[in-house]
Amino acid sequence: MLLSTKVDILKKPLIKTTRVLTSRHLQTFGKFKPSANLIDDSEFYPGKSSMIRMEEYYNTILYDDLMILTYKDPKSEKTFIEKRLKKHLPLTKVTRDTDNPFLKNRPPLKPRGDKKSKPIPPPQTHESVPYLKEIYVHCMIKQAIHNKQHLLSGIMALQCITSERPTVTYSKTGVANWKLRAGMPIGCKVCIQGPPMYTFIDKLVEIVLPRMKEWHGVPMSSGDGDGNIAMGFPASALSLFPDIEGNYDSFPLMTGFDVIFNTTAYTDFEARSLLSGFQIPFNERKRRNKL
Amino acid sequence: MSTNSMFVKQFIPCISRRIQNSYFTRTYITATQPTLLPPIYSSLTQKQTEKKPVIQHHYRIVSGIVLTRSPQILRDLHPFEKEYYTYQQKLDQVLSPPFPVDFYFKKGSIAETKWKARDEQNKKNALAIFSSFKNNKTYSEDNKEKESIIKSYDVEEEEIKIASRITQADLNNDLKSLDRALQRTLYLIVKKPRAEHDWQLPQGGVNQKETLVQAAHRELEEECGKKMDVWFVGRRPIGYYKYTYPKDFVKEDIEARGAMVFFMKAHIFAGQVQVDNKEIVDFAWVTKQEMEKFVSKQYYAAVKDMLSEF
Repeated sequence: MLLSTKVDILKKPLIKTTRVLTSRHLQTFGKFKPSANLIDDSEFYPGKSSMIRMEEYYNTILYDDLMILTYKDPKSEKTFIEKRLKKHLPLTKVTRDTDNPFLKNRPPLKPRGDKKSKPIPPPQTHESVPYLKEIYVHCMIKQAIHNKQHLLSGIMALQCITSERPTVTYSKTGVANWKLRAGMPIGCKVCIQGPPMYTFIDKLVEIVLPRMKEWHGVPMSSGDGDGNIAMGFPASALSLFPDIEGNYDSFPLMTGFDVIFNTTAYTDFEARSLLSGFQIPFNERKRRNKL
Repeated sequence: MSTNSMFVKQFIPCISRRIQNSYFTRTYITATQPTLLPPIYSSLTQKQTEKKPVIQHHYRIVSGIVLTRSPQILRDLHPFEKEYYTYQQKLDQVLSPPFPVDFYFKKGSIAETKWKARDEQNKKNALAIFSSFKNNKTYSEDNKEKESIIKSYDVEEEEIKIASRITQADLNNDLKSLDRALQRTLYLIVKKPRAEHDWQLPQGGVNQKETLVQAAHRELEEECGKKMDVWFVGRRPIGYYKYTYPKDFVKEDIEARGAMVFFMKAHIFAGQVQVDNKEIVDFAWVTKQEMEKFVSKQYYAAVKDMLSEF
């Protein structure tokens, strides 16, 4: 009797251990699969609850046109990839002759300049047509240095316009003149994807941008060169959103904010053609000298 | 659009040298062969060559136009989609975090009571679906009271009239109207005065020193009139179609055995086609499926992959 219970105890641990997936596990098991989205789960979230105008527009109209506009013929595709693969070695005699005994058993020379190598696009298919991946809406509230309560107004405003809860951002470095120290809460940001992203861009394009005064479009110089485009808005633009316009008085502080469009495009040209497909105007005048 | 029209049939007659130099400066695709052009461009030779048709590998180069009217309204939902969306909406109503009423409404205001009544009812309706327990009597009484409250407030609001998704052009089956089939992409097809292969997409020969887009633009104006606001999508063709001339065909050039049509995509934003009864006799705005009835089998097989299913 005693023996049998002992064996049972040995077999089954009394405390049920929960399995925690670490990065090592993920590597061994391959792709991480999220748990099934069941109603009983505490983390359950409802799916898409309606057809979304902008998403439908992208799938039916814009996708076809972008495929034509962003298509590269094999020759130009090759030159583009070669250009990105090219390594800028230091301009010394050593790099020119490979038989130099100096290079033997030495690490390869570092490229000149501190330019980071840009990603290389995959071969073109119907899936490589650029699409909008996510939108970041971010605001920095300078008043929060003196009083953290001011952050709440920004958080509420971003939540109103994006329908998703923002997270607080902390300053990376200190600025002595502003009395800002590193690690202080200074602003908030929110990342929106899928349906909320398309409804946000719909609101932006149909209601906010046409009513903005003295604004001539996104400058052509905007973009990081890898297909991500950002634009800034003054505090007055926040009150143009229909979600805020109704109870404008409830917000003690209006802040300016940035909108960052992350696309799957590999160049700014492709990203611009995608965004202008969504009716976001670009200012041709503010073209930087070197594109 | 299926992929093979773009990625398999990527036969391009000739590409100018611009592409080699820069990656994403706007690229030209010219139908002319730079090596064949005369070395000295005098005004006289230019005039002579301008109207000379382009022939390559014994085929006449022709520019076709896929003029589209994109969908104007959202498509009708599939019954399953509709069910799914209503179910998700109900879930959303039940599980959503509480709405900050104090933030949006003043305490004791009409708007607040109106909103609260409506929200409560929505939640009850949503819950009724999931719970097996239904006390119908109390529910209906409650609902009636609340509905009367809501209705009394709604009188103040303006009624929104929703236009019909089926237009008069749909009812009359008017194929010439641009107001028909609002949910679908429409394509322009024209009828030429001949017995066979009369219906097809508008097309026309490319002249020397002319790009495919320029030729397409010129031909569209010649065939369908100038009263259209048209935008060409890029300067690259989206597909091509090759055919040999029938034996009894009166050739303009002895060299050409047939024609090679490169299709350029364009959007129409305003205006309408004007028939001149010379080059074209009739026209129609049709969907992909409807086009099959008009054009020849061979032509439809060549063209169908460029056209949208939506």
